[in-house]
Amino acid sequence: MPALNHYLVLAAILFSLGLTAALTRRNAIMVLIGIELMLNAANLNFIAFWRFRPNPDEMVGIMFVLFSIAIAAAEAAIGLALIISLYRHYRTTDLDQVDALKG
Amino acid sequence: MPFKFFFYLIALFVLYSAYFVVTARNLFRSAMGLLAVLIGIAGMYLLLNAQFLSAVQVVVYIGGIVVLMVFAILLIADVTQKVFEQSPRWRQGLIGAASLLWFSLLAGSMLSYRFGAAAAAVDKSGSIREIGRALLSPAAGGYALPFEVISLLLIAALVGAVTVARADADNGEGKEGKA
Amino acid sequence: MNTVNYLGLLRLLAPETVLTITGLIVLFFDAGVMRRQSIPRRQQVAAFLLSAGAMLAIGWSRHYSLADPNSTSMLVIDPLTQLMKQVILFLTIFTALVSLESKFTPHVGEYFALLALATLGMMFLVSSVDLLMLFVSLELTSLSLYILTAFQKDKLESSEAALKYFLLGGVSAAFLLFGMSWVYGLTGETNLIRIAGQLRDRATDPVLLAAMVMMLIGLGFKIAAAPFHLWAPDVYQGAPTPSAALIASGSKVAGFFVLARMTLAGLAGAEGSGVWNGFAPGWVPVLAVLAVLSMTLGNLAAIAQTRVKRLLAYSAIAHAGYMLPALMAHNTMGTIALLYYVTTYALTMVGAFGVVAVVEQQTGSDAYDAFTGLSRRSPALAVCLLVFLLSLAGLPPFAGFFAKFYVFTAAASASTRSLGLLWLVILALAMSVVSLYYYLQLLKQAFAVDPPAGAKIIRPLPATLFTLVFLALLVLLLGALPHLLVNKLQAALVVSGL
Repeated sequence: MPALNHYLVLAAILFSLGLTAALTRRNAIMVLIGIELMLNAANLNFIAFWRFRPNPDEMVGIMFVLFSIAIAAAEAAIGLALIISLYRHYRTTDLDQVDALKG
Repeated sequence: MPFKFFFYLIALFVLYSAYFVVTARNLFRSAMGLLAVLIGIAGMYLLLNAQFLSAVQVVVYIGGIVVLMVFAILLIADVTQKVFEQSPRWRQGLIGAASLLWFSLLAGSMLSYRFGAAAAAVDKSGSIREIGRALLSPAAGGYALPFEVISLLLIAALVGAVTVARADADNGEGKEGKA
Repeated sequence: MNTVNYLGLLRLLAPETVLTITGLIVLFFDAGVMRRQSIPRRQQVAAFLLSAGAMLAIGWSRHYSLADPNSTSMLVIDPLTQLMKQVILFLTIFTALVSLESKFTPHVGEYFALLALATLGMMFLVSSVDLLMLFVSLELTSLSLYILTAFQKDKLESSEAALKYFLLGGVSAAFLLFGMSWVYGLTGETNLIRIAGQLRDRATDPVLLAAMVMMLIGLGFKIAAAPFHLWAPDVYQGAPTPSAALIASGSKVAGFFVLARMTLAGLAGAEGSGVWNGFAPGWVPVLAVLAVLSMTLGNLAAIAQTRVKRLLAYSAIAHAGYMLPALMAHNTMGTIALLYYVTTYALTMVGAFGVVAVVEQQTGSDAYDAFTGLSRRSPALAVCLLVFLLSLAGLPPFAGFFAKFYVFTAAASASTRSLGLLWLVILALAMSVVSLYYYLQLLKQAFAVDPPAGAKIIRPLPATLFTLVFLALLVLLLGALPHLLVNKLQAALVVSGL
């Protein structure tokens, strides 16, 4: 059985990679993919902590992840709807070309 | 130790896929990288005895979110396009360095705390029966309340996504047809 | 301990239930019955239904039974949460009335239903004492607000602002979730009160500090504190004006309240110290950084603006900076000051956005030029604008003055040793003087400059004008008799013990 730390380090790396993707990529869909990576890292944390807690009855970790997955799905649906609505105006999803708002 | 072997195998797979997501120069490939990461995470859930979540991960994340993304990509992006615009190199470098710093902060604080020493895993599994009971129980320790709130959230997402993505015939913006 | 059934839950959450049903009624009534009517007519009916439902919810929220703390560990219902819910519901009613003025969408039913859903999210947010509940209701609020931002589909800025809001919000939500996962790992709890109990004697764990910073990033985004403010100017400008009004008011109230709950209840014992030359790690110094950045960045950037909605956005960032010291004082006086500030500020902001909505609808722009000679073109509107802006600037006898006064005294007297947070107060006072400059510039445009030849008279709808005058009178009243609200807050706070 790998120790708890292993899972946590994996999650931390995944979170950092997701953050990098969200911040370096200039495409809106790529940013969304980065956000999904970050959310998954957090979920992995929850499950790892849940597994390694001494109390066998508690469900908190599992529940948190269940809800977070549902939220991620709703978030992705809305994000893609917004991207499509923006695409109608600009014909691009490249954030550097989307610059009507400035100041 | 088969567990350890599988852990490292899946961890390597996840990390490689995540790295692929970050560096891929094509939207579609990135989405496929995300798919691989999600499958890997589902495997991790199996290792951690959370079988139900592993299934949910596959059904909702892979069957729902990734498919949705692929649809969106096919709808709006030119998939044959090999390379898409990236930030200038200096910005990428800066953000990469910042993320690295962030990670070392996380790892540093984590290692200094030594979660591992305190935790000894007991045998437990979240069976579907237990999860279902907890999810709908209104009593203390139950999750009926957030369950109700999340149903509101899904209504909001449904109404909102349809309204926003639908092409309005009357204001002439939607030449694209139905989304 | 009595067993709680579903009916008990619904009774506990009567105001929320009423509002949920209202939202659905608005949605279906508009889609079914009103479909063939003109848009203004549909707006009136939807706004009326929503306001009636919200009033009913307000009435219901006054009759509550204190929740048995054992029965549900997710929510807390006490006088304070009910008071804040009433404030949020009033803000929603004002927002609904202000939206009558602008014609920005053919999807009337959806718009008002989402207003109700966003409000519901804020109400749950105010009540939640559990990380899970907090996260779910925060996301309900955020997702509804993203969509409300994107509602003006024929305008490109609206889509763009919504996407930026969404992407930055998504990143900050991920930070929040990751921070929560570590807090759960450290304590094994998600209930804020029990978390505080677990954390009592290990306040300076590096893991806890990292988790705390991540959660504060997530919430700092919600209250638009610098450096997580990047979305605010774009969203305030790009969103339909009524949506922006709700984002600037209700969302702000809920955001600050939940931030207060998180820090004062959940992270009690991990304050650290933010006094000059006596820093100790904890959430107070983190908030101190946010406060300094918000005050300076917000005020300095506001000077350069030429559009009123962007001006209000940067001033909102600055105001977030003024409010944070009240939280850092972490005592009863500070909490009262914070809640008084955020309530009066939200009322003022709805009013200011209402004026902008009228002017924008009739002149097609929110640039300073559109406000030229407003006092001749619509004296009533101009006077309302004067009241709101002077209150934002913090001049007596308006509510904004006492808000600032309470916050600054609470912060200055927070810690007896080494003059406490006086350094922050001094900075805030200096920045308030700067802010006076840009508010007066706009007022000069409205009052001292003659209207350009051929400028039209601006005529707001009677309902809008009534709302704005009512809000202006409220701002004056709370400024003249601040104890009306303060006494209420104090009484509620004593019972709830936040």
